[in-house]
Amino acid sequence: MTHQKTSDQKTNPNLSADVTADEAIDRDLAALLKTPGDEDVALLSRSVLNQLAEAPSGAEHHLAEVLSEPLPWAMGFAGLMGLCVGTGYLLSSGAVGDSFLALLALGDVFGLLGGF
Amino acid sequence: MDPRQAEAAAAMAAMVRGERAALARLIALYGAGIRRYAAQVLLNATEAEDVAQEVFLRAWSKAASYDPAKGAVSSWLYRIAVNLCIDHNRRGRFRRFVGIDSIAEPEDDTPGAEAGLDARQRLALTRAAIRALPQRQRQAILLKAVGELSGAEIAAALNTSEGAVEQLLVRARAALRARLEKED
Repeated sequence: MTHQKTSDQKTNPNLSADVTADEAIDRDLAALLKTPGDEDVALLSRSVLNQLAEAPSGAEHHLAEVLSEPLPWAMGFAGLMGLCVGTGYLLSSGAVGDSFLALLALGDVFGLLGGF
Repeated sequence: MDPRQAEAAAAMAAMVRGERAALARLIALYGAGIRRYAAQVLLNATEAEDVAQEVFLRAWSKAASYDPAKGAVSSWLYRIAVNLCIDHNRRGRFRRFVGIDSIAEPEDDTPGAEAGLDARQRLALTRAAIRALPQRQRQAILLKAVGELSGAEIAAALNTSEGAVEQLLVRARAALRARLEKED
């Protein structure tokens, strides 16, 4: 694409002028958006390397993940709860006699797991 | 291959081997550009440093998944930055909506105490013009101007074709030119 444009520029002076104008805009924009000292990455580098050195592992990492991104975990928990409720409903609708007691016991287990 | 890209590719290979000094080299190559890009794209520019840190931490943890056949290191890094900025802005909007964060104050971009009012006004106008661009045009023009990426690198970073990037750039420049001329 660049080669195409370069050969076109030789034959078409207007295109060449456009390209120069585009480059000038990009240059102006880059110059305008630069602030003094923003090329200094020493602090950034130090922060990243410090974080790598102090990276939490295992349970600490999981806790940090849950606290910083609670929504996916909450949705996963709600999904599991829904699955349990659905399974319980389907099983209880056909339950009679001893199996009903077994399902009640199963319900207790689910209750314990779900924290209710 | 461009010497900068060759150095970045070597740094990536070293990172896969677990060399932390290679990450520092990568930050030296692309840290400033990525931070500048984030500062322009984020709704809250003060988060730019955090996003830049996150980009390089992700690059470290996912270094093994980098595939040179799919694009330059710069494209890969900027793609991470583009996605992180989108996530941060989305989260920021939600946090402001529920009142956790207050609306971001316009950033004080004073280039220095001695800087003229004209320069600051021009900067504010340009930033407003960039913010008014559609997201893809804004991403493309900032990757070009601030990240100093080539068309091919931008295409890989935005997961599109070089032709589409050219179109985005042409439209973005035209919109900026029109808006800034109107303001003048």
